[in-house]
Amino acid sequence: MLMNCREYRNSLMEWARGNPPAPEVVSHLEECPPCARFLDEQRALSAALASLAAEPLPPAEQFQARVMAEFGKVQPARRPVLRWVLAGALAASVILGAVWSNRSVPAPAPVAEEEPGFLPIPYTVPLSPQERATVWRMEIPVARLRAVGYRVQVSDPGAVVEADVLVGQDGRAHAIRPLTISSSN
Amino acid sequence: MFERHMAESEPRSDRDLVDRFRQGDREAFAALYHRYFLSVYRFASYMTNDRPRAAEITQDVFIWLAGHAAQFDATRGDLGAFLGGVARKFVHRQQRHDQRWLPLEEAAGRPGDSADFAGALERQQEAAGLRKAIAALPVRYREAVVLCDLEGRSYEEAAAALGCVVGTVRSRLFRARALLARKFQGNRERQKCL
Repeated sequence: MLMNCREYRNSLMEWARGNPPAPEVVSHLEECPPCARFLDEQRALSAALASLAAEPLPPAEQFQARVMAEFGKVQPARRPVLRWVLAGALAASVILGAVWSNRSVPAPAPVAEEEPGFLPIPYTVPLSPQERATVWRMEIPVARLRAVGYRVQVSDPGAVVEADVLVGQDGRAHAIRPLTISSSN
Repeated sequence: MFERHMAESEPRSDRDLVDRFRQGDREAFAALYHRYFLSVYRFASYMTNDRPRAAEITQDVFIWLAGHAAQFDATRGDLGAFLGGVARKFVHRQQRHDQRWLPLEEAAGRPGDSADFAGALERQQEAAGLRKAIAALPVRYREAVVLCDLEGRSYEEAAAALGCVVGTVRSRLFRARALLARKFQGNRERQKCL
């Protein structure tokens, strides 16, 4: 392999994935048998992956019954009249409670992700109610926050945010509470 | 991350369907299930190389959705991306439980007992060998090849789904394909010798 082959390998892989190469990549290929072999292998792999992606998959109906049965357990069937009755009963109980009780009842401990300032990380499965979580304080580059889906409005792309990070039992971060932001300069 | 697979004469938005099924509308939930079933199943299938397990994970994803629809925020992305994140989490949980890592040596296709392989059988074996090789990749490489080369996602979409930058996706995909090509080529040469 020539000294600069490594530089061409990414382009060759992209070529095998269907992205046209730059002229110098083609020129290099003519004088480098190892890179030509690499391209052949990558093309064979692309063809095999395409075949795999085209394999037939089972119909959705095959598993629908169980999913819909579980849905029925979680989401009761829509009954507008019953909903109004329940809403009325709930409202009445709240009013009665307010009238008859002058004691302050302590609110249940909030779930960590509902604590003020914690922003759930987009598209992560939230903590379950029974799951214990710990809070880690750390510095996170703004670029990293943007990469996971947060919208951070700062002009300095190298800025760093000091934040509390809510970490679940699985060791994964679930939510972030930003504290301060410091510029890279 | 995931695309829709079911055309409808009057397509309703994901948000609308989610709002309706949260009020108990079974048809709305069934419509979303049909819309995203194949994408979720395909992702789980490639990640686990285990179709029964992929079916379980797919069902778990939709059952989870039924009880946690409030977590979906349409302003942050479409439901496909949201379900992609949920499916990824379920796959990781399952793998942590099972620890079913295949060493690369075991991922090689097994030699057959006949010298006259038909073309179809050969392709079938190739596909099986490739599936095993994908399943044997470290998970970060496997996710890259599943999203970019099997699901057809762009680098940007894959980066958003994986929570990393585009450059990381590129380098992981390069490593994944280098490992796969080596294994795949080895399988083919082994088959030729039979």
